[in-house]
Amino acid sequence: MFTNQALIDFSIQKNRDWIPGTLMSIRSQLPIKVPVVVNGKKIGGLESRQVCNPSLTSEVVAINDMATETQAEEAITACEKSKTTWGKMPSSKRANIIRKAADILEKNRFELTTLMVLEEGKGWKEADGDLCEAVDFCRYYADEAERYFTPQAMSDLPGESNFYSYFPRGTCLTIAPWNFPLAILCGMTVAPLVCGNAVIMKPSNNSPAIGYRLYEALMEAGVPQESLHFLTGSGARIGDYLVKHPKIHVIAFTGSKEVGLNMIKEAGVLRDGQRHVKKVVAEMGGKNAVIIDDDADLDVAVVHGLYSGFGYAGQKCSAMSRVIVLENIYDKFKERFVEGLKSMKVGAANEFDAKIGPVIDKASRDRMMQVIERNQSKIVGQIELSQELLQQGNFVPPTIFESDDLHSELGQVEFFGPLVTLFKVKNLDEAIKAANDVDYALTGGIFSRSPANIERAKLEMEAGNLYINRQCTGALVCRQPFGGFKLSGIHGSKAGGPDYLLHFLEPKSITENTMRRGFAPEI
Amino acid sequence: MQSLAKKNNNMEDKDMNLEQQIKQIGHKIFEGSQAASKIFKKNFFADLMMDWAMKRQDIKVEMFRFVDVLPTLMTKSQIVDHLKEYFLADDKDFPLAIQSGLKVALSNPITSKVTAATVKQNVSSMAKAFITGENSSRAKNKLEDLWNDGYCFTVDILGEAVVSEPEAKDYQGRYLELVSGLAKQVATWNAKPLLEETSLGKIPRANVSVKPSSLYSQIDAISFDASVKGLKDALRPILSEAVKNNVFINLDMEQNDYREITLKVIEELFSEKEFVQYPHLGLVIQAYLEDSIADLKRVIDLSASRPKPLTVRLVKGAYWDFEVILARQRNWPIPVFTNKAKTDANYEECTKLLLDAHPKVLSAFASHNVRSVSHALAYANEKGLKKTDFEIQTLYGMGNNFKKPILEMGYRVREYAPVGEMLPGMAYLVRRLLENTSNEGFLKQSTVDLKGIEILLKNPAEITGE
Repeated sequence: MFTNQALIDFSIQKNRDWIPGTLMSIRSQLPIKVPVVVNGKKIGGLESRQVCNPSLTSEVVAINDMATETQAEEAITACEKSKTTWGKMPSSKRANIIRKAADILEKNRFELTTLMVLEEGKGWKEADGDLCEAVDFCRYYADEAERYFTPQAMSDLPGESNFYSYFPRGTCLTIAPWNFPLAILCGMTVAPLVCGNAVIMKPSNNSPAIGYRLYEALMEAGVPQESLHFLTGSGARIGDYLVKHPKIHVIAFTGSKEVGLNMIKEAGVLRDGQRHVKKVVAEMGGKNAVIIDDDADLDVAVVHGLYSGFGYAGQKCSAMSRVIVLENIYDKFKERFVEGLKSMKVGAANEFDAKIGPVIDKASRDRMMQVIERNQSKIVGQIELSQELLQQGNFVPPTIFESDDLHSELGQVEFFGPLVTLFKVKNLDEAIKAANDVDYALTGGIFSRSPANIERAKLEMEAGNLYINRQCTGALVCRQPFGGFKLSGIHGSKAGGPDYLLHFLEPKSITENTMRRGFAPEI
Repeated sequence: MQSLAKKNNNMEDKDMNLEQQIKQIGHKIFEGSQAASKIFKKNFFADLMMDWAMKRQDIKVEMFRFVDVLPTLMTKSQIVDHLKEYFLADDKDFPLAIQSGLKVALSNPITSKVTAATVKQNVSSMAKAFITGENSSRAKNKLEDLWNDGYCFTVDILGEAVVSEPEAKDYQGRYLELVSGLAKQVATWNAKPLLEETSLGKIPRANVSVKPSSLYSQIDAISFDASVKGLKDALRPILSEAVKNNVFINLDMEQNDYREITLKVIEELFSEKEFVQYPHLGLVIQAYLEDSIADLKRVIDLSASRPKPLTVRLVKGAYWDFEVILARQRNWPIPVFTNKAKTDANYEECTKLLLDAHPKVLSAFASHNVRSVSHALAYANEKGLKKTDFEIQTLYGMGNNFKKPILEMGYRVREYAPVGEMLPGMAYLVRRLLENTSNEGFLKQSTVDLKGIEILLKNPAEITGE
């Protein structure tokens, strides 16, 4: 059985003691220069941009170079060579290189965690979770690859051997988000890699430094330079160029619905010189609902709800953004939930007592502020922020709205910030109907102590990951394979699950007639 | 060489002697408990429930889950629905005795309502066996009854989990009220020298146990300094009120995540100028923790450095399942002993440390395990302590027949007596029911024969060595 990398137990003093020193040392190295790397070579002379600490926007964390079509093309060319090196390597050797990368990440966990705190404004526990998930992805997919690359005998009849085997697909493009800057990028990079594909990784422009650390770890572990390329740059420019490129086989994408749907459309167009159909693996967000049944244990529902909605400032794909509460318990839940939120401290991600940090960038903050502005009359609870904090970083006042319009933006639009809306319903029928009345089906949850209602939720709630009586975030590799359906993503498999690698593999069915002159070895 | 052998022999004699004393005391408690068991009246519903729970794990789970949800159910029809779902669902293979009776009872609207009301009432009365009252004025009479029966008590407030600062403030208010209210109330009671006098002076009649997690909603292991500060700020007024009214305050210990924070609060707050001279402060050491000996040594040092000693309540710990489940889910080392005998043996080690350090530290042995209690009594006797220089603590409503013989031997027995409403009290009730129906529970203890008694009184150190 697969064992997940253990989180740090921060209740033990020595497990906290490293933080101030590491924080100071990483800060002294800022800004981190992030190059574009193709075929193992750092490219010079490119335009660059700055990435600021979301908690303290005056601090520049990284300066990253912006790749152009030239580097994209060079990367594609190099990937062709990878087919005969990395692609032909025994699968166990590849798996061991990926496992070694996991060890390297684990060895550097303090530095990497600290970097995520500074670059993405993640709290310490969240950043540690991110790192553990990255380590898990490496180890789990390494195990899985070895399983897939063991040819399966499909029959035991004499005179005929039937084997089912898997082979790498080709060149993969990984376009990752910033919200799990290490874990998701890592999962979407090592999954195709460990299957023998070449990968062009494009981290988010909000998280280039941590992405570059991952690239370095994979190189140090022994991935050949022609097999992995690191391209930071504009999505509209090189992302788009590569998506349309005839030599790309698989695109692994996590991001917004609009970008994802457009990518699927573009990838469906057959280009000159293209001899395959591209595959797009897309995870495109959610508008996740949690139902509070009228017999719910509110002690649990409130605490887990606050964490689901406001952990990492609501910037997880899995975050709860709608709470659908049965009317019998609505007032009580609302009061405790709102007061619970107001008791939480908003502050810089590196501060231990900050429960809610900033949002990723100014654009995101402006978007949240507009939502708050448009829905002023719906606010039932909000943490007021000081002017000082608002000026210091990308902070948004965490807000709870109340609405009776399921089809308003509060009920339909993914905000990706610390904004949660309460909806009151009469009964469970209405609750499930409301929960399902969105484009998405990513995560969902119910707090209930009625065995019958729990059963109904299991059957009827549309969610790729359904959580009962616990928070709806924090899926673990192998334990809770993650991904949605409807417009949340391409269905059929989940990240960190047993069939994820199939996206990056081509199965071959091999049959040999072993009977010659009426004689077969099996008989 | 010879003298060393002699010394070893002496040690062995001493150990032998202690073991003999433990067994003697243990037998006396068991004998006394069998006589006492006839005095307490039975609760038919509770007995039936316990009986099933001990026979069938699956029924136990459904029953306790039902008890847990019951107080939140606002209407009779909700209760009826839940009864059906928990006990009559198709996949439940429960004995006919339960299912057919319930089916008939829930077959029409009138009998359904009656059943719902009866069930709720029965569970309420079960809760009442463990909870002294909904609030301190309701609990007043029960506490006075206890006192007149010869027991003292420590009152604890049951409540919902504290999820916000207004809730924490509210809790703090209830504690403040309890401290001053209790002090007034006990002033008029009859004098009980056994319960009030020790060789170190008088101890307060009013005694309150405080749970840290109820006073600050933002406790978080990683936010160590802020958690310690938040707790100290919330506790300070309660301690001041206690000093003013001469009330004993014990700071309870909860889950392991909060242990370091709680110990730090104790070290810092109890050493503040206002409290450092106050002799009536206590804390808890949980013997099921592998680190408990180290913590105890740290606490004894702290107590020794104070002008007035602290009182340590030695418990085994009430969060065993929680700690094991959490550690396994998180892939962390399990902080508690997973072998019951090891916890028992460690409890005895802690007992010795405590009694050896007397009077630099005072002790309260909180256990329902006859062997553990007998060991403490025998060892204290061997150390030449007076019977009132330490105390035995028990849970209100649990194993009543075991308390009586201890009391009759002349020891001070203090009951941990919760006050609170049924809704938040349910978690507490379920925990008590689980203990009652566990394999090591004292319902098992109360029905043993002589051979069983020998087994129950066995030295746990020998069991772990086997």
